[in-house]
Amino acid sequence: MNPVIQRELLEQCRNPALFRLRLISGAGAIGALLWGITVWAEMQRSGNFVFGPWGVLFSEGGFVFGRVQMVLTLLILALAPTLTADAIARERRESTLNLLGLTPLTPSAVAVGKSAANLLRALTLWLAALPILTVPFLMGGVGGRQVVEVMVVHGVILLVGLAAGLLASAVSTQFRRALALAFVLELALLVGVELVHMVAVVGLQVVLSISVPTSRPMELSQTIHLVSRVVTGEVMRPLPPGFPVLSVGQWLASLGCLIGAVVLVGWLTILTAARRIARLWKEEPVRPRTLAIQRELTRPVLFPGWIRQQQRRRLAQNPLVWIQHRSVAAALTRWGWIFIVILVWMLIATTGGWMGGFAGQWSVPVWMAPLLLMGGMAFSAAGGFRAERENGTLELLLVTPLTLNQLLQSRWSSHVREFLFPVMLQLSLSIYVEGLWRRAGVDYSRFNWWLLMSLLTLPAVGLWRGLRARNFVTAVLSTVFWGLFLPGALAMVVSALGNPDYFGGPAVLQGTGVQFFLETRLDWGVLPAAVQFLIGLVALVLVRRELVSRQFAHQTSGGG
Amino acid sequence: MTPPPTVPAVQTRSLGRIFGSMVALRSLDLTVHKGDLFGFIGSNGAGKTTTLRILATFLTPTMGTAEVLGLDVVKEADRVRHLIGYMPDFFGVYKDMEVTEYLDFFGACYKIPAAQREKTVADVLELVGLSEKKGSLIGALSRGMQQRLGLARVLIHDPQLLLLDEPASGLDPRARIEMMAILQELQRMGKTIIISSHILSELQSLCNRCAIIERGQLIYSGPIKGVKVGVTEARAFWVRVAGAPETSRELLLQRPETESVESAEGRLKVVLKNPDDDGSFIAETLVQAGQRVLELREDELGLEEVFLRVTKGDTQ
Ligand SMILES: Nc1ncnc2c1ncn2[C@@H]1O[C@H](COP(=O)(O)OP(=O)(O)OP(=O)(O)O)[C@@H](O)[C@H]1O
Ligand SMILES: [Mg+2]
Repeated sequence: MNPVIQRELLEQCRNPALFRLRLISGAGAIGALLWGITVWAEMQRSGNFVFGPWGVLFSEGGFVFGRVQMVLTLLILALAPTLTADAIARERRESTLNLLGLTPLTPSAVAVGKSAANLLRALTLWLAALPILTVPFLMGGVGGRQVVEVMVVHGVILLVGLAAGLLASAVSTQFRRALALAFVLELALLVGVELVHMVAVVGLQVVLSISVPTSRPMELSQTIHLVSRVVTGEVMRPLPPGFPVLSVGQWLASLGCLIGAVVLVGWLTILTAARRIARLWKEEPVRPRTLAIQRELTRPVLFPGWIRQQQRRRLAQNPLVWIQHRSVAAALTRWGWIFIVILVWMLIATTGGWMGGFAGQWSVPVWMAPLLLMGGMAFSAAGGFRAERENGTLELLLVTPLTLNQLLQSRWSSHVREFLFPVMLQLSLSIYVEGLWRRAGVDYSRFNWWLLMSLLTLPAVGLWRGLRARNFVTAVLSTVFWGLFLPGALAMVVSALGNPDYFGGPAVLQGTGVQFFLETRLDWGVLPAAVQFLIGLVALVLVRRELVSRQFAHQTSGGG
Repeated sequence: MTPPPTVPAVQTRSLGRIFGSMVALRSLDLTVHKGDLFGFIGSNGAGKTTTLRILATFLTPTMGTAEVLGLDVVKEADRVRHLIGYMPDFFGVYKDMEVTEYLDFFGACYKIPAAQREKTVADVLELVGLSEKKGSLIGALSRGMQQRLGLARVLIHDPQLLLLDEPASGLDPRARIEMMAILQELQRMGKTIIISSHILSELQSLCNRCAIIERGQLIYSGPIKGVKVGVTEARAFWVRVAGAPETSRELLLQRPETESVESAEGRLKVVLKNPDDDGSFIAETLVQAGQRVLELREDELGLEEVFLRVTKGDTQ
């Protein structure tokens, strides 16, 4: 057996974080199961398919399945790259990669070994969460084909995510950078898979004449866009009228194309990663050339004199703010997020009623950009002081006359600077669209409040979790939990308690002031925002305690 | 804000630090005088880094107190920070920064006015011999250069007390000698320097005083020359004579000052009864008896040897 796989698996057995992750996904699955059964029973009892804020979810047969699997898909999208993004980067940081290079192992054996071991790891996670999918399946309204399609797409996303993480890991030594790169690569590779798949399907139709008896060659598009349909939960949507249903042969052929496409793209990626490893084995650890390019990039181009003066002023005011601003990464992320928001809105604008249109709180355009932004904020917030901890400068900074407030303020202001423009862009666009489409039931307000408060409070939560957690992924996940998920979940519970339809009788909070407040339609937005604010304050206190107690110090030393 | 000259540079009283259930430091009483180049010696896990971190105001003590130039490191941490320069046992550098930028940044952290910063940066770079590298990216510097840059950073705010945690680790012999020369220069400039290490031989020639700690406890503190007195009970001398040593041995054994005489490697080891004797009688006796004395020197225990004897060899 490949020794790399063996070592990885051994390490995985000992990794408490992974064990916890598995536990979480198992517990989540059981929770979802109970929840699903309760709802289902309620539906049977009342014969009423519309109740509470969840009404929309259950008004169609397969809708639950579509949404539940969508959550799972998004989880895979988010987690798969994290599994491999540190695989090679860590070996490089700890300089064990070069030791592997001295053994008879080939670069591709290392790359394949890393991917295979992590694939196994991912599969155990997926199995733990699988029961979620069975509930809606039992509820009926889901076809066998749909289940297979969803599973295939899950596999596709998993493979692509792992491959993207591996490649990114071979490019950057810093876990945080590797992870950010992995997400970008993941999207690019998914697009690649879709393209290859499309070519393959069309080719199959033309060459082997396994074709549908119509004149339109794109008839198979229902499978061509399978990946994006699964990602957005639209896989359950009935096909437009006039669309022929594929025969079993055609369906299998098109799925085969998809699998072929992912194998091809995944294989190419792993090969690229292997070539990169081979290059790394020959190279010096520090390459002055890259550093020189970086230096070129940080040089101001426009108004250099004025910018230098600004920088000098900032340096005198708070040196930590200055250092956050001078990095290439900071500038890139700032522009990157603006670009992403614009991209999402361009998609919305060009596709009109894209994937469910503007109506309803669950339609894709409503949640897409805010959710991406919030995820990005959690990522960046949890990484605060990461670089300082890794290179040991945090210890140096804490013995300078700089105050804790200056330290915290620097992180906060650089976070706000990083996300202010994209958030403002998102807010103004959504408010504008909401004004245009109010009668169609477009409602962004809940996300807007949430988003705005995330901008302000996530730095505190992220720093707190980042200092507590041993590794970066745990830090990000727990930032998401404390900073985003918990406020949202609490708000949902309260709004359910205040909703007269939810439990088939009068609302639990009937007659209280809360009930009135909830009816003001700010429920969803203001509530999580308020909870977020409180959590943010607590996190601020805790992060100060953390910095004073220097608990993190034991893990920092040994940099250099 | 120069404190009165009588105040010691560092004074700790029953200093202790506990991490969870692990006692890293117990009841340490340490005094370092101003102008000392003080060696802080201990095996791995003895508590050197912990002590230096407390003095640097990075950690707070669990028990006892520590004062730097008369200022309490907990209560007056802000003032202490201006007086000390702390160099940890790792580099602590941003690899994608230029040398001058890096020093400029830390200068700003110590609130040195912009006008003065440029000159200060040039001065410290000159002192550590990095002037030609001032525009380089730190990531491209060699290990020894990064270490010198760390020293430059420590000096940027002109501290009175330098706390250097293993500044010579990982350096080649030449870089190590250069580093030591810089430290001696700094001592001449009137700075107090505490330097922790387990490379003992170089401390021997460098430091004037030292302390040895073991498992968080102080074992010895005082002049570095005096270390051997504390350990060896008796004084001994090595003698080499022309011809057979047997006659000389007999002669020396007859003297009342002699405790014992052993021969080893063609030489004689003469152990004295009284450590206050200076041993001049040895040459006298032998020359009077017509022996030709080729070599006579005192048996000095190397610091290394002292270290091995004093510490019991348990590392934590
Ligand atoms: N933050 C911490 N948390 C828990 N234990 C710690 C922490 N810092 C130090 N220790 C423990 O305290 C003891 C003393 O450590 P210290 O780093 O001071 O030793 P040292 O003399 O500097 O050793 P070395 O020569 O290896 O650098 C060690 O056993 C170490 O494990
Ligand atoms: Mg140490």
